[in-house]
Amino acid sequence: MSEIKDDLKYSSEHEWVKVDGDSVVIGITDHAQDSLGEIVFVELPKVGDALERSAIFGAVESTKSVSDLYSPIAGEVTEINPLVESEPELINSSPYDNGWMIKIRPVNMDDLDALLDSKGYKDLVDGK
Amino acid sequence: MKSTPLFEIHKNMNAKFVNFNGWNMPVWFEDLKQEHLHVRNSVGVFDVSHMGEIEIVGSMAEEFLNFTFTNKISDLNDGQARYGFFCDKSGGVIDDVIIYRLSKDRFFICVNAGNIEKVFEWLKSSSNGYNIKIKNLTSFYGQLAIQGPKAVDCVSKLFPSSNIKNIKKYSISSISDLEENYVHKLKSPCPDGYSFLIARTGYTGEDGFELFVPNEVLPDIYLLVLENIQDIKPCGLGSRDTLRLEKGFPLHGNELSEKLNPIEANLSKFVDFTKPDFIGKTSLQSILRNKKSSLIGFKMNDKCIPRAGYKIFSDDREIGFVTSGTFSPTLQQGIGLGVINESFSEVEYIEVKIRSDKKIAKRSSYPFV
Repeated sequence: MSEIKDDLKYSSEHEWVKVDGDSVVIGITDHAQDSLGEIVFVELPKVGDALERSAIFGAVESTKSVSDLYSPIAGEVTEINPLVESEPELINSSPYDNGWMIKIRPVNMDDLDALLDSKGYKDLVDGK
Repeated sequence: MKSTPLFEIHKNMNAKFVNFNGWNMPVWFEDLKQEHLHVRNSVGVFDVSHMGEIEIVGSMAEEFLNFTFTNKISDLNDGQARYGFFCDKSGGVIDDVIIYRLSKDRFFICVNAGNIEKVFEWLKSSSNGYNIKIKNLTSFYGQLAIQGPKAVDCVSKLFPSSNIKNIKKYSISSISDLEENYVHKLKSPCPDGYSFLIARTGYTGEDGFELFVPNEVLPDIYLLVLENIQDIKPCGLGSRDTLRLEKGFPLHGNELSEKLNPIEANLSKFVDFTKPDFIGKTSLQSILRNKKSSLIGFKMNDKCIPRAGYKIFSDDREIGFVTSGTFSPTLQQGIGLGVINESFSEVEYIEVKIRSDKKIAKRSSYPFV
């Protein structure tokens, strides 16, 4: 079974969101990395890019397939994780920690309320 | 969705599944890349029971196939096989198949999973005036592909009384070891007597075999293979696709289709124009005289992955599209095949549009590895 962390918020596109001060950290879930297989390439936005909610901000590719990354929340990109660009397999080995992808300063923190909690995400993964 | 008799075994081995042409098939077990490299360096086994098997039986079987198949058939001896196409009148490819001659009046055809019914119906509709029987044996046969440089040695040891090493490439034979041990277990043996067949063919570019055995005993035989061949790994359709693409083998639906003919896919050598007639010959001859497009191979300059359907450009002009693309596990680089307009067939560099960016790719001959 793939891991779902209790203290994170989730999007229905299989991203996780963690609050970090006035920013949020975003990555893809353990379930997402497991479904993709070994990730060989990741495309991330630039620092300073403004993202709309649900906008495509990048892509993650395994040998078999490509998945777009959708911003779970509107905001400005404040940081990207350069390590996952050079070692994309970090997303497989550590999806919730070293495999984080971007930090965003949200336009409105309240937007987080629209995301799933761990129970809601688990139901989604289980197809409930 | 359909599944093969190995579904439960695969589920217990934690396979990841994918819907392939309506079949719920393993896409990989632990890791696609490991499976790919294992087949290149050692030996792997694939469940390819979704593939179809059709038999043409009767005194006019050879004559019938000579007229429906693009490649030469009349020079085959018993046990020999040949790759080629069933084309429609316009030269479009109904399917690419391997035909095995079992005997003078019996030919065995391995058909792609997505095309079984279509090929069967097309063969029947083309058979007026031929004294033959066309049998769809797909539900009887399962199929295992055992592939890799160690395959011949391993399979010879597994079936010591079957003279495995004497089976030449592109040939087929009975497996007496399996016949002896399993034929009495069959509730319904193959009416034609060829219940256990082994062919030295494959789709990985490595040496190896394809086993056609009854679905009824397929799980037993699969476990026999897994438990008795040292170092063998179960492999999924994911690595099957990357293995074939590294070798530049076409996939029906990608490089070949009703709209993509064998000439423009650079597969003319499997079309025998010296035959007096075959379905599609006139169209294919005129395509040969006036090619509109070519299949090309290419490697991406930057680290990125081309995918089927991406557009190909040259100096801002759209000149074609990617038919298959992947990240080559051997080369650690994006590789692809694509169809481009014939007037650009000499260009050395192309651009592939990946999402919003055009990425440079260098033309490459294939096989890529």
